[in-house]
Amino acid sequence: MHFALSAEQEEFRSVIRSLLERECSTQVLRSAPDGPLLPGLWRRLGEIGALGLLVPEEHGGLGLDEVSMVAVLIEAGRVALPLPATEAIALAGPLLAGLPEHRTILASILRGELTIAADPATTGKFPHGHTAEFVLSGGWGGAGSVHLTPIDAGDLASLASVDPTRGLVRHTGPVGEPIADGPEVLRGWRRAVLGTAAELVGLGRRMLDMAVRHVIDRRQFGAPVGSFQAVQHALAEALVRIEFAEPAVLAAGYSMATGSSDAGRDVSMAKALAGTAASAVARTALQCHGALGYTVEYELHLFLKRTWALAEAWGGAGWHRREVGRSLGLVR
Amino acid sequence: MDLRDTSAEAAFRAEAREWLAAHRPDPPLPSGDTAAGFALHVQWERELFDAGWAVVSWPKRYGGRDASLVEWLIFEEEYYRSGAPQRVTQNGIFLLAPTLFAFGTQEQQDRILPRMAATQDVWCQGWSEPEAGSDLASIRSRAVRDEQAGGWRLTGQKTWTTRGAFCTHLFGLFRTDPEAGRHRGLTYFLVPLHSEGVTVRGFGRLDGDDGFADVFFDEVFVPDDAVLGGVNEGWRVAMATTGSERGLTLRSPGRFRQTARRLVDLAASGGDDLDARLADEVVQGWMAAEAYQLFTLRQITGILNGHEPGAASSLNKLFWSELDIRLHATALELIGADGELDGPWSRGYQFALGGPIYAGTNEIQRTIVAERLLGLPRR
Repeated sequence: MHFALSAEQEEFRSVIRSLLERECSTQVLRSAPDGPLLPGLWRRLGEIGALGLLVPEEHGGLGLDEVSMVAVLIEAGRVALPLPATEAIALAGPLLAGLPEHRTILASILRGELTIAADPATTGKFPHGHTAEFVLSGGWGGAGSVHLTPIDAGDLASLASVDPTRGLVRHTGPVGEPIADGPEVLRGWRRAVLGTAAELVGLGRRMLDMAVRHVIDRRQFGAPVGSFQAVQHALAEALVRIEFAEPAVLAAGYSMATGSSDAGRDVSMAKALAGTAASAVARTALQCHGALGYTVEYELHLFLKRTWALAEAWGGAGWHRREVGRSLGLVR
Repeated sequence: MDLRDTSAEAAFRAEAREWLAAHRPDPPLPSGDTAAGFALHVQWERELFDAGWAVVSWPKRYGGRDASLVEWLIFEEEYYRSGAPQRVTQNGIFLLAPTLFAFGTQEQQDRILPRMAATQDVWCQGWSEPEAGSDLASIRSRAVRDEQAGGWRLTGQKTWTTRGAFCTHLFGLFRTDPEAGRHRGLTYFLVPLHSEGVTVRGFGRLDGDDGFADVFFDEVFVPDDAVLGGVNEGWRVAMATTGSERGLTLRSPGRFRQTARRLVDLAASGGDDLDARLADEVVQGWMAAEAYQLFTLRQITGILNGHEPGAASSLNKLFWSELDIRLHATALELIGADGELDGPWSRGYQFALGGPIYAGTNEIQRTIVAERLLGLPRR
């Protein structure tokens, strides 16, 4: 039994972390979805191999597994990366690898020259639509087919979203060709759910860090507000939430990487725990920031809003708990 | 990352599972927190010892198997999965013993550990006093030097001492230097309860069992070799035990996973009528038990890599204590009006309600987490 990242995985994670800390500041985040520095950041992620980390080496990727994916996407969550990393890493890369007719698209994604959006529920509403050239639609719950649709083949309209940094759109038009069905769709769905769970863990860590820093610096009644027990205990509970969600997310990565028959249940558990943990931390972080956090000038709201969006994306906590309940024989 | 058993671990698991399936008390033993029940539990503990399962992680010379931390966790999991009872020896083998291994002299280890392993001696913890609960450092019980006799005279009162009325020995903190600051001047003593001047009075816990005791000391003599870890060093020595108590050694995930499995079975036994909200509660309880298991596996990997959990054991305590209540509360809701009947779930619920109180209340744990893990300033 050894439940930790390997030295190589830790190394890769820290490379990603320093890249994102350097190149995805909150100024860059505020500039999304079409800020001038974002295409460069996407290319940098491509250059170090992050975008193809699950793609086999013979198709130009790094040939790593879902544990590495989790490690990387936790870091993406920590900076609220306003780019479709989960879509590229978890979904597009593995689905396109091995399809000779789409070799060019895959290569462009891996180089960080092209982004791709995802619309698993096929509602026509999805994030990153303004910057993406394609959308992968379908595959909700791991069923049916996934289709590759060129975005410029339809009409695009912006949607006002609580999280403006993701560039939510409404897309109407013909659905493109199916590129995957059966077990590949199921694996893709699970990877995307898991990737989103990992982002939520990173968001939770970031919001907790921000709140801790704030309550140490902020003084009221002549003392740091972080010395007051009510504040201390709220933040202690927030840490408990994240500390007990993160291992479940890593372990679900391990289940996927080893082809466990429990992978579906483990991934759903990971998403449910990470979503509720990050949402709870978001509330606490906002409360601990007081009125300062309740502004758009301060940075916290960017992370809160991403958390709200991702907690419900790819199935919310209730949806995934029903999946777990089904695996336990409690839900039909 | 590798979450599977090695072949040695798998063999260890299979051996434990097979033995437990053949020997676990069936029907289950009554509560060990009454005089009659305690006697039955002592028999069970001796059966465990005779088969080499009482203290798996200890050295062989003290009755253990030299089991690794991972194997210990596997044994715990198999133990509770088999339906075997809670351990009446736990405060000795999981709380005192780690402290003895860390601070005891060779003579103390050789004298105390084999008898503890064989349940010849059963130890209780003497920390709380009527005026010192969460504020442990405010204890007043004192030990006065008796030069002539070559030892110490203990006077004072300990209370809420679990199974104090049935145990043979007590480990506890006594004030040896009344002039020193609160945390200084305390000494950790090992006291036979049959000593002259000791009076024990059992009293009912919330569930009605005489699981608690007052222990009164009136000039009780103990020799110098009853001091564990040095005179006036008691706080430092005791804090090593709190880590064990709050953390994984006292409350390994196996027991909560077993409770969660029983809860799932209970919910499934109701057939199609299961209310959607209750089903969701059951799922949340089950997931939380799994999350505790995974947290523990990660923590153990850390320990094996040389990272002592330290204050992180407060995270364990906050999580398992709330988890235990949640699992039992959900079961009682499933059972409905019959939940008031005396039974495993109503008993377990009452026991679980103590979780956020003992071993340092959860309010104390949150303060530790805030100050020592998050780095928030002290008031």
